[in-house]
Amino acid sequence: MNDPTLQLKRLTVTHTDLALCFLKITLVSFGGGLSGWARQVLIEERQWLTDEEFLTAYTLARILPGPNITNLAVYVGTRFQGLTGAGAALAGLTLVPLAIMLSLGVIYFHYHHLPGVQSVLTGVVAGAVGLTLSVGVKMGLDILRQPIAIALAAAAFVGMAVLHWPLWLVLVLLAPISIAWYWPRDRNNREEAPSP
Amino acid sequence: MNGPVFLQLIVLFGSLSLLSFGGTNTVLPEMHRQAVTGYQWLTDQQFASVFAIAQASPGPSSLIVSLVGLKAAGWVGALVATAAMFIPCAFVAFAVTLTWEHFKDAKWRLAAEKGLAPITIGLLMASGLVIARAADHGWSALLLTAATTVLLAVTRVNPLYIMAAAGLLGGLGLVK
Repeated sequence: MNDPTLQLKRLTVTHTDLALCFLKITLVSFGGGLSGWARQVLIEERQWLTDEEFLTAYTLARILPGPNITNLAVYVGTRFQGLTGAGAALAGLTLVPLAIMLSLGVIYFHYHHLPGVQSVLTGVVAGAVGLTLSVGVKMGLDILRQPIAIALAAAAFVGMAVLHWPLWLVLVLLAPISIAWYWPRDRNNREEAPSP
Repeated sequence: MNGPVFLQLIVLFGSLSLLSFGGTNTVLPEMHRQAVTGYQWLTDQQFASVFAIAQASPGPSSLIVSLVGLKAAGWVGALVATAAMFIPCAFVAFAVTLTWEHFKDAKWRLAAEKGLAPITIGLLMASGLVIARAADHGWSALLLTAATTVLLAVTRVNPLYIMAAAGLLGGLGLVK
């Protein structure tokens, strides 16, 4: 009986706890550093997850479609309270930001014709594009070390931004090549060795 | 006339939800093509602006879809778009969470983790270009984008300060 879920179940984490926890994570990570904040709140502060469990959860969050933080919320919510727990975590994560976003949207669509509003936003758009690009650049410095990785990144860019292919086509063409290329080889003999 | 709009929002954002490997910022070019060029719910400039608002607000930046839905079909449109973007990928995450223990050391998991990264990088770069093009940025805006890209890539400054500074420069009329 070394199922890690049993350890988790000893904690009683209610739906309200889940909602409030992810509301907190979404508000404190405002501006960035999401993974660091999520780790801080989930591991240090609430002690809901161990380091290893967090790593597992975060890997899942990154490889599945959807925002990392929503996937993380669904993972944690599901582990403690099943489907409704996932819903509670997701609600905590999104409802307050949604209200803020809609208020800003109403103001924007009401006043966007004013020249002042548009000039401020032109600046913010330029900064926000920089933010998106910087995420790509940071990942790129880390990951684009082999010619094949550079070629895959370039192909995705060209397919999407230059040739205007639909996203599904880009993914269908490139993902199998990329996943096949990174398929683990060699090392697995050791992992599959029978334990004593 | 609203019936088809809701259906279009559900189909568009529901499918983008399931295709958004690497986060919502990777699907922005596709979202732009369909919402601006195809359905014409927003202008180029409005799309760039709601992108900036979503980036500069608390919460997942995928909430950009709420503003696209708001413009396309009012309050109900905003809620429909938000649900369509968040719920399908949440169900995938739910199903995978339940079975994750079996996949912990699966080869495809390791391959997917590494293999999706280069594609994500290319798509993020494409998003940057598509938004800059939609905003019809001139030299000063492109320069500001380049400066913020470098600053955020090599330092650990809180992006909020950068956005505020960029907004200030814009307000002073320095960004065209």
